[in-house]
Amino acid sequence: MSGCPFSQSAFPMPRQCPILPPREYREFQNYSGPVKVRMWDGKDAWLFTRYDDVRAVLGDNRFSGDPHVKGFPSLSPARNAVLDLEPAFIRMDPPEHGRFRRMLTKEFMIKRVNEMRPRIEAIFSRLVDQLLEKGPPANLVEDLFLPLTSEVIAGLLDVPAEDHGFFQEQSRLKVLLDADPSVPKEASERILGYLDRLITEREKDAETRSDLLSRLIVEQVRPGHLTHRELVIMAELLLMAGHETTANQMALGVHSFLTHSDQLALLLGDPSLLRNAVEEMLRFHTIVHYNAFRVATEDVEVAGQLIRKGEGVIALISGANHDERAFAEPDRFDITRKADHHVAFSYGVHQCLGQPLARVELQVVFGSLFQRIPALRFAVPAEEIKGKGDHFVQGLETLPVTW
Amino acid sequence: MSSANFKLKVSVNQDVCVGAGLCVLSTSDVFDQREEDGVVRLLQTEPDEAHYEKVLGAARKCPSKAIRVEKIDDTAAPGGQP
Repeated sequence: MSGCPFSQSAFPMPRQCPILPPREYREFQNYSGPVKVRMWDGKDAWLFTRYDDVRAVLGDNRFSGDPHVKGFPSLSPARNAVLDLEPAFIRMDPPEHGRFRRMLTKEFMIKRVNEMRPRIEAIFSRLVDQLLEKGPPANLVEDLFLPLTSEVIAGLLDVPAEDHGFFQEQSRLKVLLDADPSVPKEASERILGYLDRLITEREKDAETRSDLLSRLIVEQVRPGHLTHRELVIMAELLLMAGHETTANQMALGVHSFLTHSDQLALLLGDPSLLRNAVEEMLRFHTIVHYNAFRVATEDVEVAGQLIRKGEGVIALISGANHDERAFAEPDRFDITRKADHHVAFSYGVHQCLGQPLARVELQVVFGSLFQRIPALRFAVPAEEIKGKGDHFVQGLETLPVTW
Repeated sequence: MSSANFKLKVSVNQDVCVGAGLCVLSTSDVFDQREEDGVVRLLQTEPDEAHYEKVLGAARKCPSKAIRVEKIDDTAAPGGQP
């Protein structure tokens, strides 16, 4: 691009501290339009980091989310291995995408998800009881948040409790970016194999059951709208997206409150801030920080830059959510700000389907965690708590706490 | 916003809706979701002023641009519309 003051940067760049997004995004945002970045494979991509530009790209269906379209940017060899697997609908473009997504939208309606709230509260309360009974210290990621999110999504799909550990581990392996490509690929194959067996069993008596998979079997598979294999792929997406991401967001949310005691005092003093606090932590952390990769399917101009057909584009939601044009002092964690226009769940037709469920789970956790364990604090010096460096989904490796 | 001399007229495109539910979170007085597929269902086409900010917010946030809000002159409102 003309007038670009930067030498070409390699993508991705390291995060700061590790909580904040890379410093470079702020510099890029000082100039209109995208910057060209160099990917690991030597290919170039257009990187958008401004809020308006990111929404413009993600809201424009001339940009494809299908990784098999020539020119789609590559984040790492391990990520390629995941994207080469049979695609779930999030990797499809309209109209095919909508056909699959609409089979699921009623399951995550606001009304339906609100009905799940009492069950989620009961699960969380029981898990906190167990934690208190066992006594400190604890690792909140493994001891509280993964068990919670796993039980919620597994309950929806009716996946047996004894298998939660198995799919937690496979989900963790699947989002590794720097691992040997065989690692995420084999993890995914193990989950698919598991779900294939589970769904085969379920197909025998789906009419008598009330879980989401049984409903899909009765309403979609039996009449021939969805194949058995397509349901297996869909179930993997739900299982993975349903717990790894939300558990990471919970851990980072706790981190933010424990490192910003003024914000915790505000929340405890005024429970009506809860919804806002959840939106702010979604914005502040934007855990799916490398989303969203796209490729132009025709020539498109965005923010004054002509993107040619076949050129790769990265519309970075973690940049958009830290753009001062959309959020004043974006690197400040402030639960009183109006943050609900954030794009942490992405934007456009691929925006997260499960977001109502994620919101309710987060509201349940942050509506009672600090009341249940008032003396909650880090069990190690704060600077020893490390972010997940090489994961597609940002989070904390462990969250050691005491009380 | 009081005694405005315009009205907001809301319409939705159910074909492009992706069922994210942000409109219902903005205001469940104006937006709902169809039981059978979670697609947006409009409860009122001309909400009262108390809802304007929320309706405009819903239109801005809608990920599939399925919500259209038209500003119409109050005095020139089409006849027969409640």
